[in-house]
Amino acid sequence: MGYTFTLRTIYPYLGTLWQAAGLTLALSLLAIVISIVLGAGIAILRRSHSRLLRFIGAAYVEVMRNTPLLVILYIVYFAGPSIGIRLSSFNAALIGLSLNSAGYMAEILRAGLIAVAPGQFEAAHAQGLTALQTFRYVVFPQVFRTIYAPLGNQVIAVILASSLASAIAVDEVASWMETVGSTSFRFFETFVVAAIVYLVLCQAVNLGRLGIGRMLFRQGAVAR
Amino acid sequence: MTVDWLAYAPLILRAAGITLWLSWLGMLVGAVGGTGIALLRLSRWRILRLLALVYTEFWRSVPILIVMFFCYFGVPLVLGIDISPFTAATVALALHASSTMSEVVRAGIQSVGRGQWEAAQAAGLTPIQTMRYVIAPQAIRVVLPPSVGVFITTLKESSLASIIGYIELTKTGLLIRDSTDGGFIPLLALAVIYFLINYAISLGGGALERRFHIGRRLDTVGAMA
Amino acid sequence: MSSRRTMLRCLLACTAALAITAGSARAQTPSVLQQIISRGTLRIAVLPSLPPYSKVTPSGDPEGYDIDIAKRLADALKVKPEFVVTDIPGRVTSLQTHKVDVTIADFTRNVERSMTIAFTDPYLVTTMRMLVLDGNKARAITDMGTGEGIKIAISRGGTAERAVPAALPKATITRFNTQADEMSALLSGQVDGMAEDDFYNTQAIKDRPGKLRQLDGSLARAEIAIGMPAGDADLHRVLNLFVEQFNASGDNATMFKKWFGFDQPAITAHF
Repeated sequence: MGYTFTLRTIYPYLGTLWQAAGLTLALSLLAIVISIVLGAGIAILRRSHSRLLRFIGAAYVEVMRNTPLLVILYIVYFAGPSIGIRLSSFNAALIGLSLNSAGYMAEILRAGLIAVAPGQFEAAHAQGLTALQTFRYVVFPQVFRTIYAPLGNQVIAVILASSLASAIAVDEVASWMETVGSTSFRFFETFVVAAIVYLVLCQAVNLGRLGIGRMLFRQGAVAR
Repeated sequence: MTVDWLAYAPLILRAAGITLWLSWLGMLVGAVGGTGIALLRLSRWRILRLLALVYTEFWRSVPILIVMFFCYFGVPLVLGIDISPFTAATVALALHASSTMSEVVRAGIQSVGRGQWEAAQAAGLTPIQTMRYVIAPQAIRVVLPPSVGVFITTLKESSLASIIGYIELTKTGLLIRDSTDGGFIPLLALAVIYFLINYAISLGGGALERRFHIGRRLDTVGAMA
Repeated sequence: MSSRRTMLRCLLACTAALAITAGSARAQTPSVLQQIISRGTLRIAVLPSLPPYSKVTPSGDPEGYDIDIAKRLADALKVKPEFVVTDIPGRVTSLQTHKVDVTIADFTRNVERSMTIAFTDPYLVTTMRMLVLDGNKARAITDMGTGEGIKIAISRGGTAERAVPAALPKATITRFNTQADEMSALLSGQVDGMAEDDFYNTQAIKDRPGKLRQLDGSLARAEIAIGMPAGDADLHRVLNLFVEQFNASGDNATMFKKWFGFDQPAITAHF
């Protein structure tokens, strides 16, 4: 029995693909924003004067970087209710994804903070800059220059990782692929379509990152 | 219902072994493939460089879950050949790891100054000899530490083999949950076991880094899983 | 430079050879029945967590009603059984991709699936019903109205994909790959109900005293049969004969009673 590639067989399901792609996008974007905020908090913890806080920060990062996201998602969704935290599939996926990504974001942001020499804070203070001005004109430009490349990688990683949400019943693109594949029995076509969706999303981020890099740093070739 | 969790210990240990073996194999194949891709990336021919770039970018942009499904269901559908869940998972892990490793190896090779190539050539070494005796020993110091990170990523990614029905650590944990109604205890146990394995590996990696006197840890691309 | 070119040529040749062998392998594939006999094993797709149909023991071996049938079938064919654990979406696909020879996994036959794979005559007839937590207010499926604000767990790509929206058009469908995930979701209160096989539900209720309950009314009638790849008349003939005799001899009823604890309803039954 040969297999003929016919995209036409999955036309009827394309309507739900847009909803699925929307969910993937919403899930990823929200998770990126939340994990940046959370990651910043942890990065600050790791630079704290208190040994305990530094330990907590480091432990968080290690736990998140060494545990599979799939297992984290299962725990948030299935085990959460037994300690009184009942989240919808989407929210559970969002929390799991954000918690996990925050572990990586914390390291990226910490590397950014290290790039700012401590003397610069004093210098900025001596120049009479307010804390906000120091952040805006001194800290942020340097931090951003260090972090923007790994940040881009992390954004892509989150988009890819959002595909695991299908395991806890979020109807995003990977779920669309599995469901349509197993109702239409046209698995190959659904893979191709799903892969294209992720490719477009990730390469858009990639190009955006290259564009921002060129614009901000005008260095021609941007290191990756 | 009280469950004799200890009765499941041998099963879990065996499953952890399977997960380690699966990830190690995926990593190994990925490292070999990645080295090939890295050489292509550094080729003097534009078309080969482009092909390698497309390869790397492609596997970086498709979720490992989809790659696994593709290897397990998609390829057999079209080619009419049989692929076991183990093979499918290994190949998927290797494809993902190869794209990351190609970047790591490329950085390693590039860390060796251009002048050394020329010096080796002047000394009458063939390109292969240059690679073997001059470049590789230096590049390996740069390549090894981030490789540990890639291995941990691969190990975490291997948990997705559970979704295509391969009975590794995650699937075993879920099966135990299902046949005992153990609620969240097997899930937490899974998290702890993965953490211990990966943390041990990263400690080992740290020791390697110190041994090679390299303080820099490359940020691995697409490292979440 | 020239060595690189040779390498490239080699690569191209290899790819071409691979494509040709793949093509010819497809053209002269022996029948599935022949393959089973010459291999000496029957590869059976089973579900890992659907007691009492099938479940995995601490030693890692599967056991259950479906597993016993599979062993009986392998015996009849004088080959060894080899179990391949799959999930709901994998049941059709693993036959389609010839990963397994048969699927014995609480597998409902229908026309839609029959266009891709083949089924034997049924060895069991059951219904799809709604399993809920004991505390649920509804007594019957009709008490759920249109299903507004209600979450129902179903097997991804299973027959419930149609049956549940038909009965509860406004219910939120929550898809999982295994019944066990559905059960976990139900027990942890993540969903309000799960649409599953009556017999599976009955066992689940028995295993968890006072926790679960079935709603009155059924969502669909389900004929459970052995699945096999399409296009192999010989295998179909042999399997059908096996099922027919398995049913008629009373072995089926005995095996059913052993695993489910009550008498098997008539296979011709209409619910």
